[in-house]
Formats: sequence, structure tokens, C-alpha cells
Amino acid sequence: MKEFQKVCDSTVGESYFYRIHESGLPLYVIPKKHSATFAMFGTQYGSIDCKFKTDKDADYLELPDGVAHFLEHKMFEDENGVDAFTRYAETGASANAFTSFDRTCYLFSCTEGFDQNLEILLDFVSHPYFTAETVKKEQGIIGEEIAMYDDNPGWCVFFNLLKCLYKNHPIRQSIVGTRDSIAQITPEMLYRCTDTFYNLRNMVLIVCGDVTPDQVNAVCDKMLTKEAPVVNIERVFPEEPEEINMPYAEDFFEISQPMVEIGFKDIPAEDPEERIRISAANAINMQLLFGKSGEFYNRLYESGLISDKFGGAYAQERTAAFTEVSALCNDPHALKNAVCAEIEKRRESYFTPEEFEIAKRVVYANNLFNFDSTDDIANTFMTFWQNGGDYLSYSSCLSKIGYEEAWEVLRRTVRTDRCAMSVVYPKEGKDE
Amino acid sequence: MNLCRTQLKQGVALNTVTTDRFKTAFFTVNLFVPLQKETASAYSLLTDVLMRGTESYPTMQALNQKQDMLYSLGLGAFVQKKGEAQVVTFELTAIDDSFAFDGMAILAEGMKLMQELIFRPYLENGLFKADYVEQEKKNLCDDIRGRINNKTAYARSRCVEIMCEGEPYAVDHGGNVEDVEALTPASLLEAYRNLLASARVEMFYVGRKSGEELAALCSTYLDFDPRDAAFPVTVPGALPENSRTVTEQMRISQCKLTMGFRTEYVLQNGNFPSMALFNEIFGGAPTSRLFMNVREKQSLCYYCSSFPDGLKGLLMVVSGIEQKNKEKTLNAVLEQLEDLKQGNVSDEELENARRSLRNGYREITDSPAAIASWYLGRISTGRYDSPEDAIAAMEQITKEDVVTVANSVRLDTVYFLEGGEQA
Repeated sequence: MKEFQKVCDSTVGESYFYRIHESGLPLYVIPKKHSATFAMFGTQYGSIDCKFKTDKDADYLELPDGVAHFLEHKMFEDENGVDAFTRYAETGASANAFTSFDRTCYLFSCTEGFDQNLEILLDFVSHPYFTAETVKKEQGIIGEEIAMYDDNPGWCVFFNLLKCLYKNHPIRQSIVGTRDSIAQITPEMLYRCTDTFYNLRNMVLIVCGDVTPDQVNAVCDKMLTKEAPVVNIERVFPEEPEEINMPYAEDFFEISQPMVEIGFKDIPAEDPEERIRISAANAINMQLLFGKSGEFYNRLYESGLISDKFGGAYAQERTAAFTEVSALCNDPHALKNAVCAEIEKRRESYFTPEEFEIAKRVVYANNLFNFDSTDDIANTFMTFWQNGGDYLSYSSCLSKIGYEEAWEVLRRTVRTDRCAMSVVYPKEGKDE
Repeated sequence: MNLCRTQLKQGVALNTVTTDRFKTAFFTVNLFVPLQKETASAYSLLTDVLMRGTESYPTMQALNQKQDMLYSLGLGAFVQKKGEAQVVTFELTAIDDSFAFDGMAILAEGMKLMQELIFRPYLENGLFKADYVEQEKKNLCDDIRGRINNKTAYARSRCVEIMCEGEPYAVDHGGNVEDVEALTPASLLEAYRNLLASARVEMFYVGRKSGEELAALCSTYLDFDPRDAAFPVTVPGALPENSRTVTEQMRISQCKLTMGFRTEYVLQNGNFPSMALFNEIFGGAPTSRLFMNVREKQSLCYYCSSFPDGLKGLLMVVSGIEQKNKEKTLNAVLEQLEDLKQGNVSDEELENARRSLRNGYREITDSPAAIASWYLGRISTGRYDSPEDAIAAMEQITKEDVVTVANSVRLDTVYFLEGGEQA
């Protein structure tokens, strides 16, 4: 029996078990009495990791856009041309994968045969196989996926905002790349990526459901027999100014009403604990500023400027952070002025302590809602883990955020002098 | 996860699933009315206007502030389509009382708020407030016009609209711009009164409390009058002799292919399990014929899948493709159907589909909203099968049953949404 470390949190009434497997892979098991067990095998490699080397490589490799996502697709196929979905079909598990800015995750959810499913997951994700021919075939499928995003105004308005906020950071590039960028992908390039980032020490396995830690460990013992080499990955990000790149971008789609995204660029803190503290404080700040019970939302709603398609959130990764306010709105510039004026006003004179306490209560409850879903738990768990934090302690971290502290975080991280706006207008509205 | 059903009064029932699996409580009041063009827009607008305020909480802000106090209690009103019924749903989501750090009875407080929302709307001079009605009319019209924003969903609903023209099923449950614009505070109030007086009422609860506790809360706060109200009946259309093809244009870069089939497999006939298994093999699962052949082998698309409607008996196939591959994709889908018609279903394929369905059905029991939605979709058929019951029924389905389904589905409408000019 291998020793797992147990961590409990009484506020949310949950616990998890943790150990580093002999292969180097960190294992997290979160017990939950649900019908389905959810497992997620993730690597800390996403669309923004596009220039890197390990301490064993001579040169940096610079990737075209969309490689991490392309690789995600290709991992499913093995040397016999068998798709991992076909192997899951024999177990009935529902399987999927996704790529985001900073990670690629492979997951399944099953109600029977957990051990067998975990074997499949660990096996195919640790056995890359690429040829010129299989790469070419995937270019057709992903080309259609890209075409689908090209018709998605929400995707466009979001990435145009990132292009406004960021001058050089690769977060400004679409996760799926373009038809041209993926045409440059070669098998050699993909192998270098898996050698670097699909090293078990750069990965994590998170399981949430009705399973025991020993059960998970036993499958890892069987499937992951080789110890991963200790390598140091050096990721290179271009120099990114604190200022925004440009204040405004627009595009035109076949839609009925303008879509607006207003962003405020922030610089993420170096210290992981500080990042989590800022996230918690800003969750409260966003509720106070843009929540549906707030004075601002209701004033704008009643004036007819916005509808219920409105929201604000603070997003944070290790290398990028920003506040994002999104809406459907016929007068984007008026909305931007209103949002900036509100932020300015609250920086000067914050909300009342009573309003602050209620907003905290809302954020506490919203966090609790998350704990009814094994995939929400695992996904958020990974987000915290990658940020150097612990999801289970988030509730108590939240409860410790003080009034003055939240106000200070607002002043420091939501700055109207780093504001940009992206709008997608209906095509009919375009001035010819 | 079995349903406990109590007939509270004539035409009014409470359905509860008691489980300690969740940290939350989920409760809905569902008013079933026939899906009709004449009333659909009014009921849709009504859900928006009711959310603007109640007697005690006359503004949206006051109502939302109250919800915040109740630990971010979620309160919503919206319309949905269940076969040829329009369902007006009031939904409550809350954390379980045990997680309140001040001992608050959150669910009871929430039910009290829902009582206000349903029975005591904010009125001025006996009518809905004119400003509220006008603003929500504008918002709803924006929403309706905004349906073009999501091309995949738009193409699918256009196909259904064309295919079922003249049938109630073609009516958009969210309303249409012309009818919404014609509504007034007075006509809306009349619709509201008719709705409360005539609809079939079905309430659902999923959470830690018992059926008795819920029945007591309902009799205190949601005391609907008895009514002589049956469930609206959904009529599956006749199988067509021939299919038609409709092409419409929009300035988009990816062409959308939607195919609508008619079938005689519906929940109310008890033969739906055959369709469920057939669909899994055809285009439901990621190892389905459509995914493995149209996407993986032929690289024609990123997605190609099929969905049955268990009440109307429709089977829809959707895909996003390059315009030049229109005919090729259409034929690739039909080839797979033809192959299944010929009886080419391997034992492995059949057993894989069973496992996948079993997994999907069992997963339903992990989400309060999914459990309530499962039963809501079935309740009008008079069958209260649990997901486990559906598994047991599906296990009995044979390869021959699946082939029979393949041979009985009829292509009705092929709909292409294509790029008219270069985007």
C-alpha cells in the first residue's frame, strides 16, 4: 500500500488524496459518491507554449499557431490506425479532450469498468504516433473545425479583444490556429512537443468519483512502468508591455445585434498564493461591480442599454490576466464609457461593508454549486493546481478576504488606463 | 433515483427525487400548454416580464438582492418545447439548507419567493407595468432576431420549421417578432390569467428533502387551484413518400447540412428504446457510423451526428461542411443508413452502442437538472421510467429491432445553409 496524503476541507465537506507516482506523475483522487467517475489526464501544454526547449535540447523550437490543439487530435490515433474512441467503445465510457491556452486535457467519464478505462487513457496519451499521412488527414478535419470558429462571432469578438490587449503574448492567437498555420505542421514537430510536454512530470492525473486511491495507483503501476526523466522545460514568452496593444477592434458578421467585449489588462502576480488571493478578491469585486443585484447592472438594464446578456469576469493564468466585460449592446461606446466610469467611481469610493459581505456570500454559494459535478470539480481542481494553488482551500481563502483588501485589489488590478474594446457588428450595419 | 409522484389536486402533481448525492436543491414548476402560434409569444414574453418584479420586490434589483441574501438562490422563468407542448418553467436552484452558515431555511424562503413570482406579479393600476412590458418586448425581439448568431442551431431549427410546416411542432416556442410586438400590458395579463387557470401543473424537486416535506411546502406556498387539464398531445407526422431539398443562403464560410427524418418511434408508444439504440449506432456516439465514416474516414467535417426527438418521432442529422462537399456528405450519410438497412450491424457494434447508452443514462443521475429534465420529457407520456428502467428496456433490443428502425425511417427534408457570397 502506497502512502497517499489526505487533505480535507470542512467548509465544502470534501477531501482528496495526493501522491506522486513512481513514474513521476502527480495523482489526485477526489472521492465522490456519484454514478459516474470522471478522470482527467492533463499536460501543462497549451496554445501559448509556442517557443521552448528543455535543458537537453540545443535549440529553441518555435511552433506555428494551433499545434497543441492539433496534437490533441492526433494523440487519439495509434500505430495500427486504431482510434482511442474505438477502444473506449468497448467499455462504454464517454471520452473527450480539449486544449486551452495553458493545458491539454484528455478525459473520460464512466459508470462501469473504471480500471480498464483508466488503462486506455494512460496508454494512448503516453503513446504518440504520427506520420506524414495521418497528419495530412487531420488537416482536413481541423480545417472544418477552424471554418466553424470562423463563423462564430463570439469566438471572434473574444480573440479580437485579446489582440487589442496583447501586443506579443501568444494568448492573442486562436487556439486552433489557421488553415495556413496548421499546414506547416510536421510529424517531427509533434514528436518534439510530446517529448517535451508529455513528460509525466509535466502532467497530472485527477480522478473524481466513487473510486479508491489504491485503485488508481494500481492502474498507474501497471501502465506507467518507466520513470520519466527529470527535465527542465524552458518556455519563452516574448516581451509584453504593461500597456495595451490597441484600444479598439471591430469586425462584421451575419448577426442581429452588436457583440461587445471590454477588457482591462492586468499583470499576473509572480507568487501563486498572491494570484489565488487576487482571483478570490476579484470574484467578489466582479459580483459587486457587474452582478445582477448591483446598482450598475440595473441602471443600465432599465435605461435599455443592456439586456440580461451581460457579465463581467476576471481571468487569470500564470502569464496573463485581464478583466472581461461582455454584452450584447446597440451602443458599444456608450457601454464602454459607462463601465469605465463605474470602475473609476468604485476605485475612489468602494461599496458598503454590507454590500461586500453579501457579495462574499454569493461567491461562496456559487463555488459550492460547483461541487455537485465531478467534471467541474476536476477541471477547477486542475486550474488551481496549475496556478500553484489548492481548490479545496478556496472557500476558506475566500472567507478571509477583507473589505479593505478587496478594494485594494480592485484599484491595483482593474485599471481603466489599460482598457480596450472589441465589437462585432451585424453586417447590415456596416458603412459601405 | 426513483420518482415519487403525488397528485396534489386534479391537474396538479408533485414529483420528487430524494437523494443526498447533491449539495444543492433543484425545484421547478412547469405549466404545460399546447404549443400554438396564437399563444406562444405571449407566454414567452410573460416569463421575462414576471422576472422584472413582484408585489414585495417591485424591481429586478430588489428581487435579485433578495436572491443574493438566500445564498445566491437562482430563480428563473423561461419557456421550453416538449413535443407539441409549450412548457412555462419556473426554476429554483439553491444550496442545501445545511450549508447556510446562519441556519437559514433557504428552500422555504425560496419557495416563498417563487410564490410571489408566480402569483403576485408587480402590477400598476391592475396591469403589468408598461415600461417593463415594452423593455422586455424589445429584449425578446432582439433574442429572436439573434437566433441567426448560432449558425448550427439556426440551421437545425429552420429545417424543423420547413419540415413540419402547418404542424404545431413548427411553432417556435420562444415566440416570433410580429406577435411579440403586438402584445400589450392588457393582452399579456389575459394570457397570464389563462395560463395559471388552465395549464397542467407538474412540479419537480431533486434534493435532500423528502416528498412529504416538499408536499407541505407546496401546499403552503404553491397552492394551485384544481383544474381539468390534460397534457397536450403530440402527433407524430405521417411518413413522407418523397424527400425535398431546401437551400438557403447566408454570408457564412462553412456550409451547414441538416437532414430531417420522420419515424414512428416515440416514447408514448413504448417503442423508443429501439430508436435510442439505433441512433447510438447511426450518429449518436463518437464511434457511430457518421463519426467514424463521414468525419474520420472521409475527413468531410468536424462534426456529424444525429439526434432523435422522442415525442415527435423526428430524427435529425447535422453537420458542418465545405460547400463543394454538399452532395458527397449527403450521400455519405445516406450510404451509412443504407448499410444499416441491409442488416450490416456487427455484434460488437451493437454491444458497444448498448454500453455507451447505459453509461449515458446512468450519468443522468449525477446532475439534479438532468434528472428533472429526464422525467419532465417523459411525464406527458404517462410513463415515469427511470434511467435504470430505460437501460433494462434497451437491453432487450435486438439487432433485428435496430435494422427494422433503419428500414422504417424516412428522409423528409434536406436543408442546406450555404454561403451566398464570400464571407
